[in-house]
Amino acid sequence: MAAEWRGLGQGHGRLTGRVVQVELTGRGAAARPRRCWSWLPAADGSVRPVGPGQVVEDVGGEADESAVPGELAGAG
Amino acid sequence: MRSPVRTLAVVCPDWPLLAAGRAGVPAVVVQAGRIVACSVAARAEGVRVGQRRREAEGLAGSLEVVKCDPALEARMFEPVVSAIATLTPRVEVTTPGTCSFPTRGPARYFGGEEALAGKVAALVDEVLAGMPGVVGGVVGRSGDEPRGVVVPTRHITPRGHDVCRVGVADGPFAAVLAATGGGAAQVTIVERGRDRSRKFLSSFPLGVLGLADLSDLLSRLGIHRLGQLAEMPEEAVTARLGAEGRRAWYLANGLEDRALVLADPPPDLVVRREIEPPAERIDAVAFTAAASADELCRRLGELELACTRLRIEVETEHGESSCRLWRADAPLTARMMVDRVRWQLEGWQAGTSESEEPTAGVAVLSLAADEVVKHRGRQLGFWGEVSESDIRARRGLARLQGVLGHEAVTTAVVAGGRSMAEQVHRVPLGDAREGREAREEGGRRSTGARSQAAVPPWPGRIPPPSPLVVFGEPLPVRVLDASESDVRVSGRGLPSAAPAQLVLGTSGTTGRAIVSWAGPWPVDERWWDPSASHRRARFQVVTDRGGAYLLALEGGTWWAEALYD
Repeated sequence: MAAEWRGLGQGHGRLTGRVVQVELTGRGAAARPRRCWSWLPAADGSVRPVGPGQVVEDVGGEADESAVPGELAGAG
Repeated sequence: MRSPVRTLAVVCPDWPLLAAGRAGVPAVVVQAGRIVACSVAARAEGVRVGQRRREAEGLAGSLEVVKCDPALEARMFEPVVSAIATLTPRVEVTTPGTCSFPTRGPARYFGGEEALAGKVAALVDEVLAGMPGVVGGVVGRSGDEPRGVVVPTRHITPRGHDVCRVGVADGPFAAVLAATGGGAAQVTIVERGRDRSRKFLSSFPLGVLGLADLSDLLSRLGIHRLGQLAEMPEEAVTARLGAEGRRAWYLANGLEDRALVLADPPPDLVVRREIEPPAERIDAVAFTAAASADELCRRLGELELACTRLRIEVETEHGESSCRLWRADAPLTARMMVDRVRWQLEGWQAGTSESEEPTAGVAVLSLAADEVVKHRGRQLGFWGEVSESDIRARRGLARLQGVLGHEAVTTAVVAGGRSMAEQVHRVPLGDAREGREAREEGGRRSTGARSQAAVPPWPGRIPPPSPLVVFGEPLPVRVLDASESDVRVSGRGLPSAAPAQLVLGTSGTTGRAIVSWAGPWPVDERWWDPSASHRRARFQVVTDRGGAYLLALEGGTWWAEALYD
């Protein structure tokens, strides 16, 4: 889904990390999609959620099915 | 297990150099970028086996570098083996430069082990005196009568080291150590008996076992010498270290660990093939040998046996024959068998031995598993070890290489460099993987901590994160500013305007809007070498579609070097 490189400014900085929005869906009762923002990669090369106390956002039934090609979208 | 056979070992130190005729000068033998043997003169300057070639060249100014040539080594060793074969028929060649035989019969015949050892040493010295690089002077020889355990017959070359050394001890392992590490004397005799043997072995480092992984593990546990290993209880060693540890324990204790030795192998452990028409060339014989060796290994495998001593008999059309025993510490594989066939033939055809050289093509080749042990199998690791599929893959690649040529099959090695493309080198399969990879192979344990410190710093290299796609050929692009004219970078490293648009390809004006950018990062590489010099300015840009690019401007042309998304 959404992805954004961080670290560059207008003529200064350097690429340090990228935030991506991850959406999870499942089958059956777990089909309710959830979204969160994650560093992929973070400045130190790791993969972790953006912000320590980030709540995984429950988007309920409003998820646009066509925008989610796989079970785990946005990892590209 | 059995009590070891009293064995006499003849070792020619630095044999590869002696064979190359470079024993007297500072010289090294190099294989895959590492030193595998060095002469006494080179050792005096600090050169050691296992060093990298560059390192050694830095230590010794006028160092001669000789390429490793096992065939030459085997060929030159043949006269030595033939000479010893006049004393006993049971000479076993371990590697070129080292051979051994059981002393029981010959020692009685020649009047004791000391006399036999002296005789062998004199004989071998005589043969070697004719070799280039060796001046066979007999200096400081104190009588023919041996006395005591250490026989002070000392043949010294003018450069002050023995050309050959002889050791007698219980079992080939101890005998070779007696020959190489027994002290200053040319002949060292370790007296019979398990306790004596154990005492003699106790001071040697674990490295002499030739089991790198095991000695590494043991030295981490604080065990550095064979004596310390021998003191441990057998059950504990076997339980903790397995069959390999058990074998090491036996050797350290002056015992021989050959679980099953058949005095006479069953007749089907001999593969005899007639070559029709008789083969004149070694390659042709080796071809037959490969098939025979595969066959022999298959039969051994069916019986769950492994061959540790191979008898190779070759017969020509005219009835001349050559027969040699080849011993190996590790079970012989089919490939090792073929190598030994080659070595034997090359030695024979060189005509250096006193057995007449062959006058016709080889008509019969026979491989016999002369000594077999119970094959204990090999425990394959879960991670990072060579597995069956690795071997299959390698074999497949080697076959491709045979068809397409050596240079055609390459593997990637991570190396230093400023641009992303420079950091990957492609090395033909089988060549030394230099750079970071090689260093890691040297100290394999450090794979966990892939230490950045090992990589030399490359000021100006692109900082992490690494891009996802590095274009093999940089992609031509255009970078436009807000007024749709090309962005330039001045000689002082300042951009003419803020980049606003990225156009992929050289034509067209509609591109992607640049939302953020950084640069220029100028690099001036290899200015001393006109053919390889580059003056570039690099930029990182992020477009409105989320893609991040690494761009370079060189000589007024923009290129996309890599893509981050």
